[in-house]
Amino acid sequence: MVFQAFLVALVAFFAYSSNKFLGDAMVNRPLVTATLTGLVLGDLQTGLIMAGTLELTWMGIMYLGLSMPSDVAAGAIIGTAYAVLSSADVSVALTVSIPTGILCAYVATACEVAISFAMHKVDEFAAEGNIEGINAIHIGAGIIKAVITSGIVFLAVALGTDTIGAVVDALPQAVLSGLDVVAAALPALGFAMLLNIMWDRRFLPFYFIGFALAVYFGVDIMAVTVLAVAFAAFRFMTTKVEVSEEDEF
Amino acid sequence: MAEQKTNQAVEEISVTKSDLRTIFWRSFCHEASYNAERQQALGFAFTLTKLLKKLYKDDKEAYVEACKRHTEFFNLTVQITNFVVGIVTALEEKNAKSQDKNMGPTISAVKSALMGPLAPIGDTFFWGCFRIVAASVGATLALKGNLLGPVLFVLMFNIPHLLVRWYGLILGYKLGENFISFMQEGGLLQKLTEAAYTVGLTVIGAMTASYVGVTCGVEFSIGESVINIQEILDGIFPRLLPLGVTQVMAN
Repeated sequence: MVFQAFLVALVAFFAYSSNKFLGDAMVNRPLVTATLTGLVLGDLQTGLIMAGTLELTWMGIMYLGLSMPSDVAAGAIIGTAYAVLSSADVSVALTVSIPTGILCAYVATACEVAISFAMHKVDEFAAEGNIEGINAIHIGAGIIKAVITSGIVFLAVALGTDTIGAVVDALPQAVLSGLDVVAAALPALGFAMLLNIMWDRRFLPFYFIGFALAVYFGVDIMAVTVLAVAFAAFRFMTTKVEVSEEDEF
Repeated sequence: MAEQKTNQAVEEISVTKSDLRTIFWRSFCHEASYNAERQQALGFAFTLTKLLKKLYKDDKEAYVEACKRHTEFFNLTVQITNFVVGIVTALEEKNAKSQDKNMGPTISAVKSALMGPLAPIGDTFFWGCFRIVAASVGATLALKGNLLGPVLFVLMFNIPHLLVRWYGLILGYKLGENFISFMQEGGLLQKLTEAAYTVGLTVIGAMTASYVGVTCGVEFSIGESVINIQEILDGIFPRLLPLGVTQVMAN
């Protein structure tokens, strides 16, 4: 079992690092991961059936914002492993894979929050012009996240998915919802940093115009951009070209 | 003799085809450090590492500034990011060749102005269209136990992906190059910068409203009635807290 768990974890490691290092080539989707899981466990046919079923089941799940209902890669791998190892049918295997999917999704969010804390170090490196340091954090973060998530997949197969279910049940709800709150609030830091760089009083009103358009009129970002571009183009064409010295920026 | 030396120096800081190829290969790791705060920010620093080292090798100060602006918040469908990378490459080249190297804020503004409108386009094409079509074909074959299913799925998604990744980079670079040299004639660059600020800040404002989630969960009970702070705030000014928090952090 441990050896099989190791093989399955390798598939998981490939899936998670493909997302980081292969430019999101979709090889972490159930169609590929379930097939590979079937292949390493010696039952390609079951793998393919699971691949087709799970892909169709989860086709709707996209990365919308930070919170994801379940981790599709982990879910497909665990579900297929269960189907092959215990000859369960598809719907049972799918149910069994849910706790691991949930746990992996929370761990992924926790990683995204944790990596945010490394950004202070990134700023220090940037100020020193140490781009190799920045790159080390960049690549290191991707590897660590792939190792942790595939580690969970390993444990799920080695110890059984019931154990993972027990872990998920034991997690205090306050911690899980706290994690979601932090993850949702953190982009404020990123935008604040952008604002700092583009801090020009003359143009700051546009920030509030964009905000108000989105909040009060529910205009989506594409439409906001069209309006902003139209206005910028109008100004661009109507103001005279002047190369003046007093125009301070 | 002196002139020849200048020519050589200019050539050394020009972007070549092989630089673009290096950028292309490095761009596959764009999302490695995806995080809650700055999302794909470090991807830019990683992808442009070799270029920045080459362009700013004689100017430590400009190099540090470049490192700073390529660790800023960025998020875009990864498959089309190279279009922006291409434009930025052309702008960085112009900046490195210019006398006072002060195009930094313009480059930041261009990055923020582009990610907002391009993201829905990229998501629609790659997540909405290519992925769904490829997965439908792939899943149908896989259900019949045919190994061609997953294989076709990967190919059908990644052929457009790789084409856009490479030609997007080239197109972006050419666009950035021509646009800027056209603009530099007659002080148009100043006006372009203003336009980039207008669009960039408007988009950042709209993104603050939709990306940042800060709410207040405090509730008071007075007698029978419960007063929920968030409901009151929403009545006065929806999403005031995300705006406030972002503004406070910016200062």
